[in-house]
Amino acid sequence: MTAALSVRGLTKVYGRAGGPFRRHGPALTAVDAVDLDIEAGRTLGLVGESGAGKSTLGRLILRLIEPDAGSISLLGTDIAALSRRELRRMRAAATMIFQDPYISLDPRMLIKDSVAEPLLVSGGHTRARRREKVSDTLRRVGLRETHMERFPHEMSGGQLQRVAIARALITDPSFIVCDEPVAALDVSTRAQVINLLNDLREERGISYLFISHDLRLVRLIADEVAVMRRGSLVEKGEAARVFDHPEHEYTRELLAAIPGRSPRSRRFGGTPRSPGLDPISGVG
Amino acid sequence: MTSLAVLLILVLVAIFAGLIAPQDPNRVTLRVRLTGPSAEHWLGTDELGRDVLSRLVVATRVDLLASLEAVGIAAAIGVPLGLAAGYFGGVSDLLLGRVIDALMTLPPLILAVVVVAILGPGLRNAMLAIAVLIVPGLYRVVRAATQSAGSELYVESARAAGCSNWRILWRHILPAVAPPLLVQASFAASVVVVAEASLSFLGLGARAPQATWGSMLQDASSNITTSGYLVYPPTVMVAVTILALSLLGDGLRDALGRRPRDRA
Amino acid sequence: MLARDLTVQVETEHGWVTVVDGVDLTVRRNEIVGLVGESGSGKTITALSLLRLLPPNARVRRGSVEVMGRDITAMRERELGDVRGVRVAMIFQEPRRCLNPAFTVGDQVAESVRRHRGWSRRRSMRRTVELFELVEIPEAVRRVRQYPHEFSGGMCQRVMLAMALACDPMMLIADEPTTALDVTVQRQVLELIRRLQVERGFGVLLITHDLGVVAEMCDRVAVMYAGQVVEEADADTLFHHPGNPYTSALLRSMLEPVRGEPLGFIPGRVPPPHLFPSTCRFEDRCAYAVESVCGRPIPLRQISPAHLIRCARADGLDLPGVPG
Repeated sequence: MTAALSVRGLTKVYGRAGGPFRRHGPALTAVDAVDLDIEAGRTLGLVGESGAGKSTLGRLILRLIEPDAGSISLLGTDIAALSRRELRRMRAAATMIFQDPYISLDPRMLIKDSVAEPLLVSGGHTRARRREKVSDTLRRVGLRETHMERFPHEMSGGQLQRVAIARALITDPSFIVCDEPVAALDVSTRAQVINLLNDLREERGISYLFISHDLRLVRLIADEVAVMRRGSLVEKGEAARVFDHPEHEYTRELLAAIPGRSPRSRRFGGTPRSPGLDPISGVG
Repeated sequence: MTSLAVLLILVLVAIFAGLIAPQDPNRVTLRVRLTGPSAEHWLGTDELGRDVLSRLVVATRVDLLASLEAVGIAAAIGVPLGLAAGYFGGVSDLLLGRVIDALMTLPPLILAVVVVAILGPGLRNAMLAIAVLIVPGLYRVVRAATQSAGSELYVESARAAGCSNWRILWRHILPAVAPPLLVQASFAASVVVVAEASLSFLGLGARAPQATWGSMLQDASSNITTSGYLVYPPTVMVAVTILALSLLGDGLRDALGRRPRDRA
Repeated sequence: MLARDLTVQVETEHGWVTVVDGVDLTVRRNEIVGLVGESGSGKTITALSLLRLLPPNARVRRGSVEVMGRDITAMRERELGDVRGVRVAMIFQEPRRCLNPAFTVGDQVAESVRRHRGWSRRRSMRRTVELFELVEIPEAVRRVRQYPHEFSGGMCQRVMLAMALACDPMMLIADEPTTALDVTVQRQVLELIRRLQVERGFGVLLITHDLGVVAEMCDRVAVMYAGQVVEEADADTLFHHPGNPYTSALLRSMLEPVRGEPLGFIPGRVPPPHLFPSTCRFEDRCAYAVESVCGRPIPLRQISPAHLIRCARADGLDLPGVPG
């Protein structure tokens, strides 16, 4: 299997004295010597609490932020070595879905323009072809033609996140960083978005880096899991293994903290169909 | 919106000045010097017997054009600099900021006088001087708006989609900067109108026989003891224009200030 | 605490719109009642109206709220002050925004002690340290002198709890108290609330969208949808034998799902309040809807002593709940 992503020693330090005009302050190591691999077509769930450096890591991987140390090989390309122009071309193949679709789409742009933008800037498509792809992609994520002529504020959160997915999808990427893609959505719409992401993965063999603080979601979508704490990975491995037999104390703590799993709540007793759950027996 | 209506009238007067002006604004008729308002000369005549109404109408055109010119020049300098400083930040932002700060510490009218002294008098040079004066205001507004728009998630999303900096600035940031820029520009325009009047009054702006509100004021001031009423027409025009521009700025700020974002 | 037929309207561009419609709610001492719903279901407005804390653009149209047998809807502001904080305390989703950044946290809690008890400054501060210890803030003596920005989100929520406990309330209303917190911190705060509730015997109304939290905390649960209570039951019944299709669908979309199976979800979205239909409000999104019986207003019916369901087909349905 080929690697979609291979990261070695990736480090990002904030607040280090850099240049004559910067203020000097205590340095904060947001991402600390992280090694990470994702095979093509697989999904890695990156979990951790707020401030652990998950989002920073996701952005570093796409070089939306410049790393301080380490190497990133994305889809077989050393992206640290790319020029700005080459990096922009790379964005068609590796892109990102953000947390809050209310603010990740330009409020002054029509939906169709937002979705078409990545295709437009990657070049090589006629106007008619772009239009066709936009409507195909919107249909694929479950939106209708009529949504094309709307502005973001005229749509619901779930619909907007579909638009954001369509926007990420339109250039047929092989790798997508999903940064808390459903955290801003209502619970009943969350499921639709997760199901869509899952379907797309199977359909197109996309690899995801799925960032979330919600272990319940990660369980659902990830093949492998990496647990992050204060900038470092404390544990990584096959999802089933990490959830069933966590090795690191912190992973155990995180798993135990999922609401609805503590001994008191026997209402969620061992669901026999879900092998990933640690069995808490008894009926409420 | 009253202010918009007033400005619209002013613009129409400026455009059709040639048709509206009842007489040639520069025709000297010495036998009717300093007459009061009459059926022939609605607002009377000045010390050279020129029709005041006609001069006022033509001055409207000159003043509005001059304001447009000054604001245009200032925007052409301030907007790109503000965008660059706000978007890229870094050392260039720091240096630019210092230069702008330095510019703002200078007394505005003195600065204008100096610029005119270097370039020589004349309306065009006066406008250039005034443009330099209003650059800092525009620059700061654009820089601040760019900074806040630049930190929006949709800008990062555009970058992740492969947009070039140029496209991000043009397509995503400039539209977000436009509302506060328009507000600031309308305030700047009112500053220009006052500044033009001041400079022309001091003889540093429009040169005879060109009619502007400032030069008309200057003409009127020399006969203020005998024909004091000549001061009023240009003064009223300046006041009304400034009021309208300020109100327009306020209105724009209210109308464009907050976009409804339906989160329900 | 007892709410009867509580109906709240909010002024919008569509005029006065009913967002909470005839909600009955009872919270006794010694129990934790969960109020569950998605955003837009009216759960927060319900909570605010229980203490008459509604914003100026909202009004209680109908119904009453009784606290310890006294009707607060008829009370004057002065008497209300006696109820708020003393009888009923409330904590919110974002604790940091409820604290004044310019004063130390200790001062703010002591202020609340002083106001309600009339104690001296020194005595109030001693009590504050005790309260901090009670809510498990380590090094209480030192931390009372710190400012809100020196506290993490979880610690801020503990401070809010200390403030709520300052006057020994009979009841605590907690509006999404842990939604903004990390899971491990959420766990600690929930356990703290639970422990305090057991020790002090007050009643808790826990408002949340997270059924996992409800499962862990609550004795009884009321589920709200589109401004109405659609089901109310003790927690075990609700989770294992939901009687309303909405409850059942929520359970399937929220709880720990099984990998490889699509996550259950509810198509469509909660209608905006001005478009609440007069028929069953869930009909459009309901997999079990039958027009002949659902196309009319549906009352909340009691199907067993402690189980209320608002569904026209409640008798004929066997809905999936949490297996167990």
